[in-house]
Amino acid sequence: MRGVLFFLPFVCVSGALLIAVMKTSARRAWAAIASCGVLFLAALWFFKAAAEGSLQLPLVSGFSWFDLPYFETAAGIYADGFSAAAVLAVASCGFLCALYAAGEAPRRGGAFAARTLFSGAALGALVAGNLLWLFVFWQMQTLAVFLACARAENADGGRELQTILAGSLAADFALLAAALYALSALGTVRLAQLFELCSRGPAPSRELSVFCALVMAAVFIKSGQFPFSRWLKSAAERGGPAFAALLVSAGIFSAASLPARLYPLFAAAGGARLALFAAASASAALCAVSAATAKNVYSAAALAAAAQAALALGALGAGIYAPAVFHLFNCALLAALLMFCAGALSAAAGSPRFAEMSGLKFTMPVTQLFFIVCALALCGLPPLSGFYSLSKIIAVTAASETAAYPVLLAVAALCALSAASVGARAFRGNIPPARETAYQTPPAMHAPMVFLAVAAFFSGWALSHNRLFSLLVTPPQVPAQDELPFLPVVLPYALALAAGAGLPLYLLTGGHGLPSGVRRVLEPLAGLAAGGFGSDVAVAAVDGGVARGMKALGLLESEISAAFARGAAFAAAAPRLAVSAATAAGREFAAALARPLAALGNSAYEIYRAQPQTAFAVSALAAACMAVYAVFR
Amino acid sequence: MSLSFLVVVVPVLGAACQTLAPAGSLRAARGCAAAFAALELALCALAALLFDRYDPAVQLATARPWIDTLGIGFRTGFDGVSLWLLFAGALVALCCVLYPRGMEGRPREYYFWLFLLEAAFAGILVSRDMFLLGAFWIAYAVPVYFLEGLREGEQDGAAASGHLIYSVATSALMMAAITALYTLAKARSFSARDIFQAGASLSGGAQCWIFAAFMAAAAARAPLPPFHSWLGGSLRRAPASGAAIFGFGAITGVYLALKAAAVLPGGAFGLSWPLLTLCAASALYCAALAVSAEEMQTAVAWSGAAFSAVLLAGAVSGSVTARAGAVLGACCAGAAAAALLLLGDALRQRFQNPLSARGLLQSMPVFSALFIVCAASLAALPPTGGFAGVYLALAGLFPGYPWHAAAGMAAVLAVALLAALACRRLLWGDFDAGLQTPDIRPLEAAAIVPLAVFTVLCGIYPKLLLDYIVPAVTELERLLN
Repeated sequence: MRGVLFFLPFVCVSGALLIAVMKTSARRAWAAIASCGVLFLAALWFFKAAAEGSLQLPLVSGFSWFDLPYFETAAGIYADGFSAAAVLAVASCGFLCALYAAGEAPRRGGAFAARTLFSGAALGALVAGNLLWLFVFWQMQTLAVFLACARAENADGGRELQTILAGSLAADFALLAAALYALSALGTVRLAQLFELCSRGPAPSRELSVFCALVMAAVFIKSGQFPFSRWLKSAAERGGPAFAALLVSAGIFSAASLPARLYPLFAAAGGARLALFAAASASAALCAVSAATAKNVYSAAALAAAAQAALALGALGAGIYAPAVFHLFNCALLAALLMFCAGALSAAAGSPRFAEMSGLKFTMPVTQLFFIVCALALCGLPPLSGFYSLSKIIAVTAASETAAYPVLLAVAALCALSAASVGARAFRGNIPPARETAYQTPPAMHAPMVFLAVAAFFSGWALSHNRLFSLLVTPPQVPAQDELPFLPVVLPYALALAAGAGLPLYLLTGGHGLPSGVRRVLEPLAGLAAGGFGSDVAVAAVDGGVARGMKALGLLESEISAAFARGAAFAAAAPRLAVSAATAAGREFAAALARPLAALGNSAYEIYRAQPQTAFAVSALAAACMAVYAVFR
Repeated sequence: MSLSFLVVVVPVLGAACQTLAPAGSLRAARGCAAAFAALELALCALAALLFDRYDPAVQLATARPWIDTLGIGFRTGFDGVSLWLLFAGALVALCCVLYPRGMEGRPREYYFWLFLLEAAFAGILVSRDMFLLGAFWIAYAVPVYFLEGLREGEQDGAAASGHLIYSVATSALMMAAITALYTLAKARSFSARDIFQAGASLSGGAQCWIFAAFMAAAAARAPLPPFHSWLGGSLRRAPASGAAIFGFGAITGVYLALKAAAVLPGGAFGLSWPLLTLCAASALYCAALAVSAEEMQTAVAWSGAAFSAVLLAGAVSGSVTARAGAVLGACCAGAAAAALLLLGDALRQRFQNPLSARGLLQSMPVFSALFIVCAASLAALPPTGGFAGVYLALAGLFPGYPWHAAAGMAAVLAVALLAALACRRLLWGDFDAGLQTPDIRPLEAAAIVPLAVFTVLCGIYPKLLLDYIVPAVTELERLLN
């Protein structure tokens, strides 16, 4: 059974290839069958390993890929308990997305292959045994994003795709830089050996810090954190709801779980965890506010999911390992549900814009219910699943008595704001839509939504009381942490939720009576958030700069030859000037000496003008002759 | 007569046979050409089979006197590096011969120059005599000149002469450097071994000057700025299959850099920083030119030049890993660039303006699949050989020169972005325009599929080539130390 985990991603990749060459009519069914098969295999391996008691032990296997005397890179896996649980979660997400897509309106055939490929790549990224292999799976994800988002469109669409690809590829290459750095500074790219390095004794702190910074950059870009969220938003909008759900659940999860997998390295590197905490907290806050002001339901859902992932990363940076990982699992499932609902609403309204969704609560009460359950679960409201992980994060942070407590509390409030605002804005408006026939979500799309909504009620409780899960998400090298009983922190927690989730609900009711001072603070903030806190301006500036640079480059090529011509003319003219100057000064001897030089320069210039390459060849031959002469002499 | 000698002789015989083929008979010319190109590839495959991969010494060698008084001999042989570069070159040549277009109504002339080019290419790789190497190096530029001029005739001779002049001028510098080494060799011989010893005995400063001359020749062939201006125009004007084979010849620049660094370790060490800076800047510049290119052939040419710059950096970096990666990457990227040039030509035959092509994924699935694979290889994306080569080159470069490696990575990133956007533009889009277009014909596919398979095979199982390349590169390293 050990091989199953290694081949699981390749089952998906092969499935994607087969789906790509199938008839369009068969693709829908085979995509669902492939994802079901992958889930079955993952579950089979998981439960068999659990029965044998070997689930927690790191599973390391693979074969040599590049085999050089001083440099060896294996194509292998490193799967510990966390990876095992994560594989099951991602395979479930893949299956639910395939099921949802089966009921979606017909899309291009390539979308099915893209989703299957993305699932496989996300699975591979969770079990990759070394950073190079991880890079390969990230590149596969990029390919899948490209396949899902590339389609016929105008120039604006082309630029958008360029942004998506630039974002995703930048993340991949940041990871490659981290891999190359690890290879040169730490001597290996294998995770097992990197962990050994930390466990053997004092690890090289500076090298580890640089490595962790590079990994952090890669993770932030790949999981669409601020200021790199633009590509994630665009990909979620263009890929369609099923792909968007996969992207924000499996994609963000597999990227954000990398610091969790590499936690011993982050813990050993001085300052890396603090940097992760600070950057992730800032990103969570900014993404949350951006989500609250996004005009498009896909963007809002993607940003809300990114904010939740950032909250988990912030908690990880604060040293709260198990609750942070638990929150990541919760986010993955809830983000998928959020996007499923967004897809259903968008299909019903005929547009993903919130402004077009007025009055959908009258025609889609069941979807509204799912959406509200999901939003409240993301807010962390009891007894939904988000509550179990979020409250645990707050309780453990409170016990740590550090500055992380108020920061994470504020971030949790902002994340609640984003989730609640998405839910509230999607169903605002009291006027029923003037549509001739109400849109009915197909049962195939309802099924995964029902499953996830039910899971949102019970999974938090079930998983927090499941000993196996607790063991899996807490590796032996992470020390047990104290936590305060929930009661002392319940008041701040409740206040944070009320402030976060209550504000959008209050505004939804019209916001009557809101003090003008508060309005004056909120309005510019909303304006800033709508522009991505200036990131849109920065991106536009970069786009403009690149376009101007490309234009300048074309000019540069012609200017270089013109400059050569001018330089040659000047060089030819210089001896003539010298002759004139010498004659004017009455220095006949000097003028006589300069005259042949001027003639030579003139001839050379004429040759250059007639045939510049010949002039270059003559010069090179002259240089060669001089070199030979110099050596023989 | 050893195999290393035969691989030079067979293309010459192929060229000679073209003169005997009946004038105007395309079938006879192509049949004869295909037979000789296949024979050349078979010889390379046989050499790979007979080659002892764990022995780093030169194998299947021959040594015949030529100009005894000056110590010049016809010394040839294979090492692990030249073997696979030659194999890839022979594969590209066979594919170019099989490709059904490019003769421009003059098939005999076309195949004649193509085989002479292949002979010069093989000569460069198997030469174990530095004079012979220099002679083949200069001779290489002549067929390229005539192949470039085949399509444009005599109207625009200046365009075709660009490559010739740069090559001849920098080759003159290289020959001067070889002559200088010869005068210092105690044995008064141009044998590679004697030249190696002479080079190692020089002072650091002298080594730097001589190494710079070698690198000028390598840079003109690769080509790196400021010797790059001929590339875009030449590849656009020449027949596609001719452009593919002489574009592949750019990898001889990497080979020469590798050898020169072994001959002149002090020079390689002394000039490493400026050379690597030039390579990194060239990679970025060529990648930017590729992104701003408006024609597919030009974009492929500049992408290939950016790739070559990264590999050249690996070749002179002084790391076994980087050098092995440079050789592996050269084999794969050369094959991928050749395939893309042929695909570009196939597209040009179907669309008056290839830029207007859209929706080819639906109407031309085979073309689309091949395009994606080859573009991925040139963009160094896994699981292609281009990725394996660039990764190893950057991995070797990174410990000593992290900023240069970062610049190389940025260039690769730009090319990857370009490849993805080109795929979107061609393969997706308005289906109505694309539906009318026939997919590539079996003969076209037969010319391109082997190249695509080769690049993917090298990516999935790089050990196949690395087992041969690494001992040879390690031996160079041993000589260096």
